[in-house]
Amino acid sequence: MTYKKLIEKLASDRDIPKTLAREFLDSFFHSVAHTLEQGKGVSIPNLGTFKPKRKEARKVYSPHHKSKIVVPPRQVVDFTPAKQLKENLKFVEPRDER
Amino acid sequence: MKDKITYKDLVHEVAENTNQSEKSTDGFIHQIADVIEDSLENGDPVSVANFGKFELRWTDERKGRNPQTGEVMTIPGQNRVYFKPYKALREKVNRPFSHLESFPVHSASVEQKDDNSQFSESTGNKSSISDEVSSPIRKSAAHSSVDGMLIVRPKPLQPAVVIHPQTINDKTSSVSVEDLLIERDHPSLIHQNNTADKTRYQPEPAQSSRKPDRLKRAYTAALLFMAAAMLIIVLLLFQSSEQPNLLENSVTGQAGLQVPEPIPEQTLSSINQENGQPEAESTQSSAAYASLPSSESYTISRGETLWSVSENEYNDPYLWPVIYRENRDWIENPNEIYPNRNIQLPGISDSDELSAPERRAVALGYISVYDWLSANEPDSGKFVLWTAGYYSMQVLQDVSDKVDEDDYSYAIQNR
Repeated sequence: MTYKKLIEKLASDRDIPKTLAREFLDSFFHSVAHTLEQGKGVSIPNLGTFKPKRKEARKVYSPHHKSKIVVPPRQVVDFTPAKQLKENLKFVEPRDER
Repeated sequence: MKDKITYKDLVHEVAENTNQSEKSTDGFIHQIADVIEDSLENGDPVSVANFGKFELRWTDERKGRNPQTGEVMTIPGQNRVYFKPYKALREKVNRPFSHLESFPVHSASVEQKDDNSQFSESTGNKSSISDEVSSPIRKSAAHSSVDGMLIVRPKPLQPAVVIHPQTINDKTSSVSVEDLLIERDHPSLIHQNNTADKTRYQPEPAQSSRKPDRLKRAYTAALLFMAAAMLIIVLLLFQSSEQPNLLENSVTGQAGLQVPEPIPEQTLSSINQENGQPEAESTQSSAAYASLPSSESYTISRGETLWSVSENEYNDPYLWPVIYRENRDWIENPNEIYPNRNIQLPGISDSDELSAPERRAVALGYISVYDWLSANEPDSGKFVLWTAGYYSMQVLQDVSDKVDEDDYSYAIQNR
């Protein structure tokens, strides 16, 4: 489902103009991203928790450099699905595996 | 990282930005969750522009253990809701680290370790030390067996990440990056350890009892190897040769010009006292060290690195090149400093708001590091040079004709 379809679906489900649906969605995801950017997490009911997660520096072999390189620490997004969402989808037959 | 905002805060923010009531915002967000769930249920991943993609991923049946009873059980195959953040989001979240770059590992000391005669000689001579040293290593190995990365290496991360080559020194076969982070989060905690280390190198009590039983034979062998490697390094510390600092000398002249703002010495000494760091008598007059007005003498404890000293004293680890520059007469390799050595700490009044001369001093520090790198690890010099430019473009431009052209053009890009 593309973002456009998502907007359309939400607009029709909630019976609001698409512009408003888009505004809502933009604002919502922007706020979540902004929260993560601040190094904070947030839980969305029925969806899950987004939080920043620290990845330590580590050494890997780089085929390009033909030597070991140190990969710097990074911060990544950690998403934990809400329990309900996880359980509901656990055994859904995957329609097409890609 | 534990910080979270509440859902309520989020709703409030979204409602404000969209001029809608909090109630309808809340309903809308619930609806988003529903739509995403429906779509996933139909096998259709949901993609959100500039944010990420939600999709189901199938995990095959696998064996697992009940962590409480140790009982082996079969975990049935199931779907996981997977969220793949898109680039824009990844970059946002990674912003605090975005200035760090991968860094080739310097392998000079590895060759020395492979020398078997040295290996046996040093173990024979100082087996007692090796015993003393091996226990802390054991702890870290147990610790890092989680990710498995660090153990296999006989030698810990050498010049770690470009901005902080000093995550490691001789003691650190044991700790390295983990310590760095502990230090960052609990400077005071490490601090105590450092003080303890000063009298005698002892295993840190915390966590040390963690699953030694899980250590396999191979790990033990690696540990012994690491211990021996450390011994050799320690021996080498006393015989390393000097390295010329050609470029550095040429830059020194400018440093003298950049000292307008004196920083009250009290600031530093009070910091030292607060931290409880051993403070040795100043052996040099501060005037001798030109780049910043006041220099304090400071004694390195075992386990400390330039990076950690900078973090403890300046509250900003990235300022370590200032210390290096001030003491480069005897620091042959900024990755290796020795305990019980007095170093000069240039005065930095407030690491959050560096004054112009301080910024220049930091930049000159990075130039010093560049100087060292160009003699030892030419490939990584450009990153340091870039950082120098970050602190002071002026300093970078001043040395433009003395540094490698490619490095310079790398350093001035992306401003």
